[in-house]
Amino acid sequence: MAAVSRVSPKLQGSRQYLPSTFEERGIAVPFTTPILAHARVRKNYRDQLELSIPHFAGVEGNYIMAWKAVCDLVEPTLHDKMLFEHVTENRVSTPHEMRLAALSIACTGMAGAEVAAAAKKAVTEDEEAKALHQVIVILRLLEETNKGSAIDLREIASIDRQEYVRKALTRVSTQLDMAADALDQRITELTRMTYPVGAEWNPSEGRLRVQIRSLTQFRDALRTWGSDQVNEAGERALFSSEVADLTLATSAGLLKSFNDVMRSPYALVSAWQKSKVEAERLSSRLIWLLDGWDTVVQWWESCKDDNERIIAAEQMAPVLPLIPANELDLAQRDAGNGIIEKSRRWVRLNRDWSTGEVDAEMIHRMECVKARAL
Amino acid sequence: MSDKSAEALSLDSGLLNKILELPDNKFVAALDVLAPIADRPEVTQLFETIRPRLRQLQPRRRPTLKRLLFQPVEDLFVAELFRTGSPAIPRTTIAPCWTLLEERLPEELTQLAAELAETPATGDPRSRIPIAKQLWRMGADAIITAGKESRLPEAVAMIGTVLAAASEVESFKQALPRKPLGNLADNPAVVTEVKASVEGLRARGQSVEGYILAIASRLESPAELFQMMQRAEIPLPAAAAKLLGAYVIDEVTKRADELKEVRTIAPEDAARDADRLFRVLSDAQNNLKGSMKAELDSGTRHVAEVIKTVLDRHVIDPAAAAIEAALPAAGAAMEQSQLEAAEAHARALAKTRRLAKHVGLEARANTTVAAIQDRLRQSIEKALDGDPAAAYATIHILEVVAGQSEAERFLRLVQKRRAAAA
Repeated sequence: MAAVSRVSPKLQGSRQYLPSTFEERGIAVPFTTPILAHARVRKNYRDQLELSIPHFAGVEGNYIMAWKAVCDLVEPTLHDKMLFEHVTENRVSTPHEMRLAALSIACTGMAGAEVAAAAKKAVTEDEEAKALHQVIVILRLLEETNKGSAIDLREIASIDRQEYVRKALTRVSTQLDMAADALDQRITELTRMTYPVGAEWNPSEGRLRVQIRSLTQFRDALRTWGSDQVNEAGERALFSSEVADLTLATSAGLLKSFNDVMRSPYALVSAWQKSKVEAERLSSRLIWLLDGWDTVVQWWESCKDDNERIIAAEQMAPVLPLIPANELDLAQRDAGNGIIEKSRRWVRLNRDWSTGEVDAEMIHRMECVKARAL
Repeated sequence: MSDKSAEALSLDSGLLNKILELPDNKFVAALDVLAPIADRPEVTQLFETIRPRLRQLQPRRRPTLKRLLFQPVEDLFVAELFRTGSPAIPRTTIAPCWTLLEERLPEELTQLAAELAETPATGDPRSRIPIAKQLWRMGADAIITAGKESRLPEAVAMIGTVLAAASEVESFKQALPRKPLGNLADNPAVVTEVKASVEGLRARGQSVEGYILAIASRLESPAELFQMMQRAEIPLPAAAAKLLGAYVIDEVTKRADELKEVRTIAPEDAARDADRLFRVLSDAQNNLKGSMKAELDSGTRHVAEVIKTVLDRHVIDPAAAAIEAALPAAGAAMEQSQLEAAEAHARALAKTRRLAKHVGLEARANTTVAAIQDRLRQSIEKALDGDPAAAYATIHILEVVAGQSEAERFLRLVQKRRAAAA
């Protein structure tokens, strides 16, 4: 409790309103209307959707409003209205579902041609990644039941090999004392749950592993740039790198456990009821943890010069996806508390994103950042 | 390599071209060698040419003593003087100014150079601040003393004036690093910073002219400084006001001439630059008084015409054709690059509408938008029963060009038809 005792009474009072879980932090909604750019949707205690907007109108803290009132309060772009309606109708409740919703709306072209092209590419890549992940899991399963001898991935494409795989899976299902269809179903479900992270041994990295790599580069870039600045933007950049660092440390723990669970698909499908819960929990925690970082990373990467970096460093610090207290390991709590205290220092907030005025240039900039983050 | 060995290098144009072709790491190393002789005309020219690559690479290196000295003045440097009476400082002033200081402060500069060499090459720039402060103070004193003994070129004297307020200038840059800095009225930190610095300089009995000019050179619209200081009740001496007025006129005419010279420009860049120029001009017109206002009026009569021409030529005129080119024709799929170009033209046109009425283009802009709107309407209606992708893409352009209401009506129609078809 040492860390808490150092905190001012004002901060201690406000702590009770900080999100304590990922679900309370909410899901980042990829709106393109600048004022909603960093908003998150979550369920309230009555199971109704509400929107949390950081630093709304330049005021410290988060502005919470009923989800259904969003279109009355600001004038969202038509893309955002479509996304709003999709989320409402489908009761989107996880970052993964939000991503699928965002991709389906973006594919229409209502956020522009560049976003549509990026969304279509992301959908195709997702499908390919899912299919490849399934193949990779099956191959590992067969290797495990084939006394550990490796199967050449290139050979699997041939018709004979496909037949070989089908027969081999039937043998595995017999070993497991279950129907072949049931085994197929378990593999399909395992694939669905885990493909965003992907297997450690997959030659093509899963989306979240790529995201972790980008976040590592982001952390390093901000650390280097921030220590080279003699201004507040530099301090904010260092703060952002600290938040990214804590996120990476948390992701490393989750990823290690995920890799351990995924190491043996045979063990997974054999002890299915217990293992699937753990695999899904780890995959889902990683998705929640990294939710919202893509936009921040792309925002930084889209900066063309030092001046744009200064603006980005100033504006991103107050809207970073901080890790809720209950999602941190005990060992990380002190670091988490330190970050929350620092985050309250930023008094000049998010000014350029706080106007409700329709600004096509800013909307387009937001569209471009989101397109790269898809 | 020392400053002297760098001087010994022979710099023909062939060598300079070879430097330009170097890979990044070697390119940065070459710049380190050239930095001490950056004021030589051929090297100055080289640095101008490579500035975009330099900005992209952001090499982190310890500055030379010369660079550290001129750091507070850097925003005021121009390749050449834009007009007579301009308070900007031509880069060619660096060499005589540095020579003057070398003559007057030989031992002090050697000592500071040695201290600077002890600071980390790529580490925390804060480690150089104590050296920089000494250097600026000594430099300012030496130039001011030299100015009392004999008449100095105005630009050299101006460097001395800015150096006398160097700590305050750097404090401003540290607190408000954005450049250009806009919307001063919404930024209380600017008021706090300027007020404290002006009071500090006055308390030390120093001129505020150099400070005001250095701050103005970092603003999106320098004339805003008049307004901000007046509202915050920060006194602006007549000499500083005159200098600031001259700088404002300089900026308006310079930006107008630059925009006038542009032959090829993307529509959104044209709309943005025209909008910025208009704001700079309006601020200048609202804030300059007396003879400065008369000088501004006589020197900037052509500016509205420049804005009008740029908007007409690069935004309004080409918009309809660019959007038409992207629309679906005879069942062919819409082409990505044409679609992106059409959206860019639509955004530029939307941005221009507000400005158009101030430069006599309102009717022309309205007619263009109405014609585009009609064409988009026809295209959407045609696409309603066909390709939904084409309908959505066209509705998006309509939303950007003409706002949401009609675009939303069409969107609902598309959704209804798709739902019915499903």
